[in-house]
Amino acid sequence: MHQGGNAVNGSASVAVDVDSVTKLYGSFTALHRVFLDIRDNEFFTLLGPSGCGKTTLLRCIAGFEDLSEGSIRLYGENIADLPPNKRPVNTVFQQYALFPHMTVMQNVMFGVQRLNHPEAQARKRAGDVLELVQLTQFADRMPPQLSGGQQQRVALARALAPDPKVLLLDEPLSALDLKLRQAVRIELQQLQKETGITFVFVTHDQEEALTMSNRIAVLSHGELQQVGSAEEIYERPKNKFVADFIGETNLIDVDVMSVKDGETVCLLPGNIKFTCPAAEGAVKGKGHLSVRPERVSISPPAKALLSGTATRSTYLGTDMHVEVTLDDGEVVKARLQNSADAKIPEMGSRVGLNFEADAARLLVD
Amino acid sequence: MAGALGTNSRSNARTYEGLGQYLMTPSWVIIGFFLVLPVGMMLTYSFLTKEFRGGVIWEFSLAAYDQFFFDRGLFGDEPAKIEWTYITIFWRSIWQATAATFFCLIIGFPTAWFIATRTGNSKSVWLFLITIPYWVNLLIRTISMKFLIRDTGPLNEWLLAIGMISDPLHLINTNFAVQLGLFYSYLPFMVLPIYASVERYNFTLSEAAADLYASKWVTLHKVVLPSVKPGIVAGCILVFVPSLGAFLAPDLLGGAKNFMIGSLIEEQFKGNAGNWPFGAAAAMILLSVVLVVLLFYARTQNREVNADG
Repeated sequence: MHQGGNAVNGSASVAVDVDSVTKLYGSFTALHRVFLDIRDNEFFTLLGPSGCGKTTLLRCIAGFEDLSEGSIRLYGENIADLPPNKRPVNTVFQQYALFPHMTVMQNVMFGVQRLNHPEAQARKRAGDVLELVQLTQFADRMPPQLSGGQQQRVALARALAPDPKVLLLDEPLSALDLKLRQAVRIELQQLQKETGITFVFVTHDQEEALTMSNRIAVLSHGELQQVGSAEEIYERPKNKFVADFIGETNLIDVDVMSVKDGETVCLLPGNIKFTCPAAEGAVKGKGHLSVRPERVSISPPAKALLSGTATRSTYLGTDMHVEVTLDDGEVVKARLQNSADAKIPEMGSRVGLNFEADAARLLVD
Repeated sequence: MAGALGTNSRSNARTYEGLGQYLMTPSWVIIGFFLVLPVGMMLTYSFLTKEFRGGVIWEFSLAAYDQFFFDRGLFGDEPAKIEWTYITIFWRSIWQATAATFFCLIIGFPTAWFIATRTGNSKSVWLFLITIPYWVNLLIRTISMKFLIRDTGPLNEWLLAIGMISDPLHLINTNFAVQLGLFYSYLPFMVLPIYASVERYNFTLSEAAADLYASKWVTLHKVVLPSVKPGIVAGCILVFVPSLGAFLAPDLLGGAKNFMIGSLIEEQFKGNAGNWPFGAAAAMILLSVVLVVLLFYARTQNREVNADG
């Protein structure tokens, strides 16, 4: 499933080149000097909490927003000054924005017809795309007569029909219920591979981002935090925001003694010296180690990196979630597999916590 | 518990159904009292014989309709010729009303669009400004218009003062003045329904159209106008129908030469010179024209829906 993703890494050409894009609304900075290279034939995701600027960036690429600074190139051509109807990109809108007075077929034909293709050709193309999204039998329906999932597929078909160079998707799954959302994820991924069109996908759902994307860009407060594959983002988060936003993590306060060649020596709470990888840009002084709960193990206090009191455990079926309060009051979470030999500490007892050096990572604050 | 609830709601439904019949009563009373009765009365009167001092004699007669369409000489004994007087008045009314609708639409649509696209408070301020003059009686407003545009009125004085004209424009008692009066009287009836539908319009649809390579013009034509069409249709009907039967503007601004059907009908019921059956017949003919136009419109609408579906 990820082979396609690996294949496009490396020498592939750049589809969308976002070059130092800044977008201001009055005194509010929606995007601040964002650089991105979205590669050809890639499933690329813009991920971040609401208000982080991901939708603004998508709208800048589509042409609905003017840039305050910077430029956007589409396969080498600067499109920053082109109106939306001159840009060879199409959008799947969050609430679909289907034309309510047109049939499904007319909706899907709309873009193709605007490109001055003859009616018969537009109809054939629309028919093909409707077949691709399995809506052939709904061609003559009006959009309000369709279910949410069907409307979503019409929106997708309508945006794909003109054969755009890049397809922009603005949280297209957010209006669907959970079951449908999971099914459509797979469909979207399939569709991207079948069509070979570059997808730029906006979401606030980290699980969606991790499962679908070749690469992910994490944004916060209008600034780019990190770009990388799902694995890179999860395993090697660059800073506190990324580590915290993607999945669950422990952020352990440490005193950083040295940082050199991507390695750090630091003092854990309890003054144990610890050597582990460091994110690029991490510095000496106060810092944070990110350790995923599933990489933390529980052991007798004597042989442990950290020690504290077990304060809470939560049963999660396949896993047990244990919270340990360190002596300085900090809480560290451990996620233990619910296997036969799993030893769940008694609440209130003294326990130790261990993790491997490669499970920890010093972050940029 | 669930069973009890189920029974309960079913019996409730039955109660409401029973009540529903009675709830319809006010509607029927209103339709009967304000629509069926008056129109029925007019229809009846139009087929009666006129009394010379107003009122009717209860005797069946087609004289009113005959008088509208045919000229049989002063004593009614000559061979029938087509009577053009009333048909001309009728025709003038129709094109004046059509023109008023057209101008109200041309000006009203951008106005409504402008107001609907304002944000927050300024929207209600603009709406308020549009409606303010309409708190003043129509008669007063029409008379003010007459003062404004008469030969020695402020408009002419101002145009003379800035040197755009050397002689006063003769505007009063022209078709133009009537048109101006109709336009002024009914503009809000165009603006408000269009405003309501533009307000409901989902502007993402315009973005979607632009995203799909539609120019501004194509977006307006293919996406915006079909979406706000109900407001446009309502506005056009609300302007056209009262314009067709208007009598204040033609009376006060048009003078005798620019008579419209509304004034003609009004005269038949005023004072001692009236002819009730003739007035009723003219009203019936006017109503038929309006109904034919509306039916024609409804049929084209149906055809469009069928073609789409």
